[in-house]
Amino acid sequence: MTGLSAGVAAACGPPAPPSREPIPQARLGMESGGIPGAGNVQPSTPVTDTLTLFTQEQAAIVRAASGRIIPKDENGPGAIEAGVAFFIDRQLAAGMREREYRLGPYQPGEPTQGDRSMLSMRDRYRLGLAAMDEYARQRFGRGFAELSEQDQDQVLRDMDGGQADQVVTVVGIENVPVQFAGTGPESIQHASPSGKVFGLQAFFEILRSHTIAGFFCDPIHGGNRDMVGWKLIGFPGAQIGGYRDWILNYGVPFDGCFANLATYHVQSALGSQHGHGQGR
Amino acid sequence: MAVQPRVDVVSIGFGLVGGAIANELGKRTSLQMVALERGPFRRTIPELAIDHFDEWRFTVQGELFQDLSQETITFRNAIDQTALPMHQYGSFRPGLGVGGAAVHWNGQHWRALPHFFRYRSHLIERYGSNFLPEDTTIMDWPVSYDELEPHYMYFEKVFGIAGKAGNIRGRIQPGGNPFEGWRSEEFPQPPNQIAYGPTLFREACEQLGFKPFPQPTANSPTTYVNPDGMALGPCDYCGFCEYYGCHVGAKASPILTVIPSALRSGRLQVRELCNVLRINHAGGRATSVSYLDASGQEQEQPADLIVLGAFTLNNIRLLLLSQIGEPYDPQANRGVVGRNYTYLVMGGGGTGWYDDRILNRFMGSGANGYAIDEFNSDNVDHSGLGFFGGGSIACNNTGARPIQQYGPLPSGTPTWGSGWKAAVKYYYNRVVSFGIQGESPAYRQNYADLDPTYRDAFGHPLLRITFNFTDNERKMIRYIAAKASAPIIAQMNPAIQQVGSDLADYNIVPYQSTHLQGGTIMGSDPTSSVVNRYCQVWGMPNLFVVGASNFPQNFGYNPTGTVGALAYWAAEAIVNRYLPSPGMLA
Repeated sequence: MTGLSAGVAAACGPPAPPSREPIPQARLGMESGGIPGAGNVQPSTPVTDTLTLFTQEQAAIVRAASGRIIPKDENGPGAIEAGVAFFIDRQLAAGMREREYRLGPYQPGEPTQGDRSMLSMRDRYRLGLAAMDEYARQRFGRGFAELSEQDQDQVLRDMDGGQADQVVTVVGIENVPVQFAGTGPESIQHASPSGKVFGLQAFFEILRSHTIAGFFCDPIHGGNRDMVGWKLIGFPGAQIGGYRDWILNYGVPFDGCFANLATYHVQSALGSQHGHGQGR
Repeated sequence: MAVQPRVDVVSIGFGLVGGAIANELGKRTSLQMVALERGPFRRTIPELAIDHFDEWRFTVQGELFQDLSQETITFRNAIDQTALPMHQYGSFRPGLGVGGAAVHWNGQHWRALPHFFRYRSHLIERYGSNFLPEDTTIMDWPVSYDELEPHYMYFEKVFGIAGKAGNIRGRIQPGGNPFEGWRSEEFPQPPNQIAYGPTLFREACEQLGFKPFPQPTANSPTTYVNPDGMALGPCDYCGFCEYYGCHVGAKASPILTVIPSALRSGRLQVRELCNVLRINHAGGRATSVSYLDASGQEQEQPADLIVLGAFTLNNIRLLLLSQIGEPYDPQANRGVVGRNYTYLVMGGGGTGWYDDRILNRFMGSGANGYAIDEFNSDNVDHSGLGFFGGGSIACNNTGARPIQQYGPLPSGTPTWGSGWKAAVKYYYNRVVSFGIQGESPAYRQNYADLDPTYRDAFGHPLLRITFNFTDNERKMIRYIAAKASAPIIAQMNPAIQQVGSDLADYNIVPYQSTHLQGGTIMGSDPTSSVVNRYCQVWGMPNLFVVGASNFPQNFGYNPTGTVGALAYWAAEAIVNRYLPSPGMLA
């Protein structure tokens, strides 16, 4: 039983013979939910810190915001260390959500009918980041990335709570004409997945969900570097050997090695057998 | 437009239904067959093997789901609203590609309860003719449980279903579901090795006097060879089933079983990336299928027999686009195509967060747990309760992929920042949940038709869904939550306990289930059903429509097992009854 905060790593060799006996609760430890062999990482492909879509300024805002949504703290690395900004940049460049229905006519609907926006995810970021920076300037006199962590938290709280939408309107929205059935030309409304008009509150939810995705995705996508997200919670990752020897080990934290897709791709390229830290 | 050489049989869509029927025709006839599938032909190994451990690609980006940029549905809660197109996935996730949604399913297998096949008659006999709400259009099936039993059994052998029988030829078996219909034999395979969290649910249920039993599963616990010689398993409980392939070939799917078997006949051609536009017909016979091939060219495929076995939504839509059967009109309560569209009711389950247990939530399979059936369907005496219907209750360790399953977290937990991070770290591996799969009855006002405004990428009308839950289901969920979820979670005794809240309006945003039924329902009367008891379209004997679209209403279980049984029931009718004497079967 090891945990990141305990700073102890189990050796990633063949596992101890599985026991069907529950271990005493005193051994469970209270600070983490059972951490596999932390720190024993299979080789993974190198990542490069190259932006493919964001400007340096946009990336700085995303990086800073992600670092407040999942901060580095006493529980270990956060979204900045996980490379979340690079994950989002790469996914936007690759065409996130390109398999959506996008045909009109666009018209407002009920919250139960879902996202009504014609904005692409790229445009949501472009417009959302600009508005977020504008709100930071109006409230604190500086752009978001230049604020103290305390002030960044305040901006994010104002976005999350909807107060920022009272101050800053996402740029560009009023200029898009749309024909509503029977009512003539009107400004379009951009609705978030929760049915709210697209604005900073909706954009915050996008940032939050993508930060979590970039923190917990397979590292092959550019986030979760060194599997820091998985190590935080004890998710062992891509275990192609599975847990047949362990599933009936009720209450015993898994102590095999963390593994990810790059582990297997590297091994495949080298022509070796698929395998992982459990030695199967 | 090019006209292809005539074949004996065309299958529209090539998933579970098309694969099972093609396999039977391949083994038992000499017919020449073509299968038209809009998605790609991927094999479990290698395409859906190691790389499937990728939550971002498969779950979040929906690698195996239908491409909404080509076709979606429009949705509204009620007739007086304007239906709007579903832009992105939420409530349900139809599959794309050979094998269909049964490639990315969890593998939870159920048979419907016997009384469900004569549900309207059963409820009226038990509670009187004034018992049912006036707007309910639930119906008896035109086929009985006894008639389907051999086909359930055969499907279970083909898919290597693992479980523990509760009723073998009328004798109740310890450890199984005492409420299930009789089975001719034990399950083909013994239950899975079951993860820790569900055993806590099982123990609590036993202590409360309920009869928990292992969730029947298509995740093969051993190396299994089915009647066609196709091999499955063994499952290693990696926790990547729903939305994924299977790197060890343990999760039974059409592309591991019936489809490779069907291809061995040498008389089946699968055409991938073909979008069917309509079924052409004249004089009460289906004559050919028009489709766009992979290059976008329109093709016509003449055939003597056409099997429409696509997903529920596509079965309904293709009949409407082909002008086969009278579209349902809810105002006049007449017409048949689109009638009795039903869903499934999720809500009212229990969640517990432990301080003193590590649960290894990430170990499991799509159907790894225990269930109870005391509160399903009419297993409860509904006298005086003010509602009908019920639901199964199950606790499964289906995996804990962290982007979407880092939680649930106790209510009041911060949604970001260090407080969120600490809670995720602490609770990720200490939480267990169980859920209710509640029955979604059929109502006059819930239906499907063609949208008057929105179109697919090829210019054809989208399917429009009009659907909402009613007070009946709200009372049902509230009752089960109070009588089952609350005592079970209390008995499990976690440090923090929560029971799901009341049922709101149906919302297309959060994922609930891909259990869509009805719209081409089977019945004994052509004025209220689309197909007869053999899944044959009334008035068009050479067109069979098969799938969950045939269910007159949902029951409180996953539909796939009954879809499999219906596919074999229809195949049997085609081989033994239709081919010797092509015409309407009586």
